[in-house]
Amino acid sequence: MYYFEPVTGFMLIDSLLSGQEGAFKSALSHLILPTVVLGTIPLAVIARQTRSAMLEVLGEDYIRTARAKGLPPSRVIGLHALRNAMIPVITVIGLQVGVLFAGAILTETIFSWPGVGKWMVDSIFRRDYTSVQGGLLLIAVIIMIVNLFVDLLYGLINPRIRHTE
Amino acid sequence: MTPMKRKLLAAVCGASLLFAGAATVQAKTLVFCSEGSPEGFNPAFYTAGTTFDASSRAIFNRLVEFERGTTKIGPALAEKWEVSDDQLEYTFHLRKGVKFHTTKEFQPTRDFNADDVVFSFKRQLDKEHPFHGVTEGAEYEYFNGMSMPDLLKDVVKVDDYTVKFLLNRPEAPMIANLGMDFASIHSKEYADKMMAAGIPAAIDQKPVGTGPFQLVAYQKDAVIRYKAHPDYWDGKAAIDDLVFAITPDPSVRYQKLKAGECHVMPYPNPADLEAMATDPDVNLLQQEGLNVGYLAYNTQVAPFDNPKVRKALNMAINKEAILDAVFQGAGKVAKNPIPPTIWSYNEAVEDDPYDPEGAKAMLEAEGVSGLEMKVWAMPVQRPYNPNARRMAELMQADFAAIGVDAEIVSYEWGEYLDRSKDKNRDGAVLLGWTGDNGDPDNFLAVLLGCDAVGGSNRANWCYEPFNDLIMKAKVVSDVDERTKLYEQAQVVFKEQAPWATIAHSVVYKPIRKEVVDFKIDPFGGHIFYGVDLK
Amino acid sequence: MTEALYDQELDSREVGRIALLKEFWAYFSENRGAVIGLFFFIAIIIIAVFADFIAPHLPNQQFRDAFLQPPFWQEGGSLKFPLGTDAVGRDILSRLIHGARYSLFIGCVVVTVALVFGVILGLIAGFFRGRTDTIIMRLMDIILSFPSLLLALVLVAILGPSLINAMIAIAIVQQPHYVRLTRAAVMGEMNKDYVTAARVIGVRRMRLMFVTILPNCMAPLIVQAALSFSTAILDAAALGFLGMGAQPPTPEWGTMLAEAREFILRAWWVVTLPGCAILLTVLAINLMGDGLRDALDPKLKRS
Repeated sequence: MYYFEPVTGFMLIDSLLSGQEGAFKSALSHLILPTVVLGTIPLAVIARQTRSAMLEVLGEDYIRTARAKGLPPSRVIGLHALRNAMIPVITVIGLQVGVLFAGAILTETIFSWPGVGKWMVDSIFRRDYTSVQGGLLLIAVIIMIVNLFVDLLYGLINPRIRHTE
Repeated sequence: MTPMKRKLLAAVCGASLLFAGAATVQAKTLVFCSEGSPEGFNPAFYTAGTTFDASSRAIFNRLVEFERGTTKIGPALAEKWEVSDDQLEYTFHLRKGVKFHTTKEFQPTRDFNADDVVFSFKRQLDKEHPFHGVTEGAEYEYFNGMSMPDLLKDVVKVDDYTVKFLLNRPEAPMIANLGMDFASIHSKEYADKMMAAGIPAAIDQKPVGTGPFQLVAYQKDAVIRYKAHPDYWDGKAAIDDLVFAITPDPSVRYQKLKAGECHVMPYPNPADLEAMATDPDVNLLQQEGLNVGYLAYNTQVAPFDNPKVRKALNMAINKEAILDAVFQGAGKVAKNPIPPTIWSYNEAVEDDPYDPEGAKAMLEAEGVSGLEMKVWAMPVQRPYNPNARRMAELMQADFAAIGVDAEIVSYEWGEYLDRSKDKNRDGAVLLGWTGDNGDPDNFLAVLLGCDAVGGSNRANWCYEPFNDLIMKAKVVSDVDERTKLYEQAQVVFKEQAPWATIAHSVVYKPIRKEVVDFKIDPFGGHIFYGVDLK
Repeated sequence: MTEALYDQELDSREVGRIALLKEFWAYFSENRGAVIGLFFFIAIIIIAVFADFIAPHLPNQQFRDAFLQPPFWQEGGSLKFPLGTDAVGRDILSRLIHGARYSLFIGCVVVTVALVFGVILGLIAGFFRGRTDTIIMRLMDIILSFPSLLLALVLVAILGPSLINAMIAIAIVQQPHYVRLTRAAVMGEMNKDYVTAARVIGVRRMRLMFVTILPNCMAPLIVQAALSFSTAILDAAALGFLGMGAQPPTPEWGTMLAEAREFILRAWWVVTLPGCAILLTVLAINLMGDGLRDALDPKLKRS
């Protein structure tokens, strides 16, 4: 059992800052299972979305051009195709944040992690409406910010979006 | 950005220093996977065992204390005491050289003395006391529940190391009462200092006591950290650091215990006991609990005001099945409202037989048919009832067999306790009690006395002959005579059947093999002074 | 495409319908997963309808001499309880069979409620536009900005935990999807010639909305309904798991799962089997939904 002062509130960072041997490893190993559980559902959704987007993009002419130029397939797929297929995928990733929070409620309950999800459930059971309101607001704001960020990313990925007014 | 960076840098430096320090001495850290967050750190405000574990049992001392692992009372902050012949005056001679904790906020300049005792009790007793209401919304629940405001006339300082308690009437279990958690001794000097600083409520949030451990840090729902009090009057604790890792889920607690992330865990899943018993890393301690689980009818509402109806329902309950399914065999069928480990337990009382046919006939004879009732099941696991919902489901089926239609209701735990006190409550409520001073009075008067109707007497049962017996037993000091009175009271209880007594559970404490000298506290607490690690 | 179908329908409705169904089945059966899903789903419906005859025992009957009996293939199990018993001696197979009823019931009620209200709101928003549209859509955006489970949880906390309230909460949470879909489809249809024609003829507003436009927007709605059927079952199970849905002893799968959690080490079947039931049902419905989308959604139709 390691103990370190919460400096940033992020367990991984704090465990590194604490300088205790093994603390980081311990923190990391405790994150594996919840992460896998929480990540599986978005993983499936994102994988499906990427597949369909890639299929669409790979049929485009410029991909054929790139192939004809003799570029290695890894470059064609990894750079030319993926970048253009990312737009719908990123949209889906942004939408998954909401799903993630909903999943966190269950995951944190099962793993007894004192996170936002568990806090919300506990406050609901306690009829602590002030906490519930605050928590809901916080989550809604986070989701909105993430989606704003996603919108900004569009421009970063696709110059056409960046330059159109 | 810059201040942030500086902070980080400072943290890194501080951490490396810490690391250097830690490398030289191996501190002994005991981790206790506790079942929930404490409600606060002033034990006088609360009644939950979880809170007492985190506050009174680690941070504070009382004038008298129970010997660890027993129900025997012995000296603590008071070295000896005298009782006057009329039993109205208790004189305590206090221990000298007892030091309070030194914390960031408070450096004590004097040892513990009579002022602290007077302060600790006057604060609860005297509504005009400057500290009576400093913490908003807090009530001295236990103090009031024990009818201390009526009982206690005054607490007087005689000299620095002598205190007198003046009573309004004799109270046989008085000394045992003073060993209970609400009677913990706080520091007056600290209180005064905080009052002067304008933050008097701090004494309830950052507690300072004389106990074996002092609070270092608390993160709600995550962890409580203590370190050993270096100048503890009875010698420094064998472990250096005590950590409460708050883990509400019993299966997770067991996983942590197995992984060596905690050394002691409370309230195991009955379903896991088998695995624990064969686990090479785990010692499974067990002890018959000082508790009783019951179903309290509301005896003021028809048809449950009729003892025969209550008796019939009791006869319909298959307690053996409950013991199997809910306790997984870790318990004993209860026939009396007090557990067999307490003195004055009446062996001669006969339990109601399990007889659905007889119960049906009895209901018919009373002219009750098509009875519909509610059974309240609490949402949490308690030592006297590992799974109330499951118990309620079993009862539901049992009642259905005699033509009684039962509906199960449940509320959040705090709400449950609150709503079940209502005198007009609709339905019978599942609840239980773990004794906290080892006196039969603590069960019979608190749970079934007339004074407690609308409070801890969830059956709302006020029956003169019974109440007379327990009131008489309260003022008599001769133990034999008290035993007789209590035995008689149990007979009356059984005839009137305000409860269905269900079970006395066996308390299990899984601890890791390297934990030395951990003892199960009969009062359901967890005490880590005197515990060591191999 | 739609216009062509519309004409066809005018010519001879009977023939048109059959042709439509045939086309639909041709597309649908191309997807083998969807067909398997469909058959599985039909099997579940049959099981749910005839639960009383199929289940070997009553779902709430407690066998006091058989607590936590393992399934028949394990040592100590018997064919009397093919999938074992739970902590109070109830037959798990019977509970799962009766639980199918609850799950389908939840799915149907939630989808119906969400569909009806969602379609009405979406039609209004798409038809009238302007301020009405803005108000409705902003309201839906607000609902959508919360994680659905969390919002449902809060709603149930306010309404009080019970199966009915859980269904209402889930329906409220799902309805914005229908509103948005309907609105988008209606706006697409509004500019089409047949709508203008119907207006010119002087069709009344209500008839225009519900009889002329709505049937042409149904394809995406049907797909969404199929997919949200499974979401509803999952959400209800999650609420039950958190103790906010169906109350014991109701044999609802999520509630069964939550009640059995403590036995994960000692009696795997009590925990695993309800989980499997949820998994398989939702999987079947999702496969079926995918097939429906392939067959109905013109955008994804292979030409």
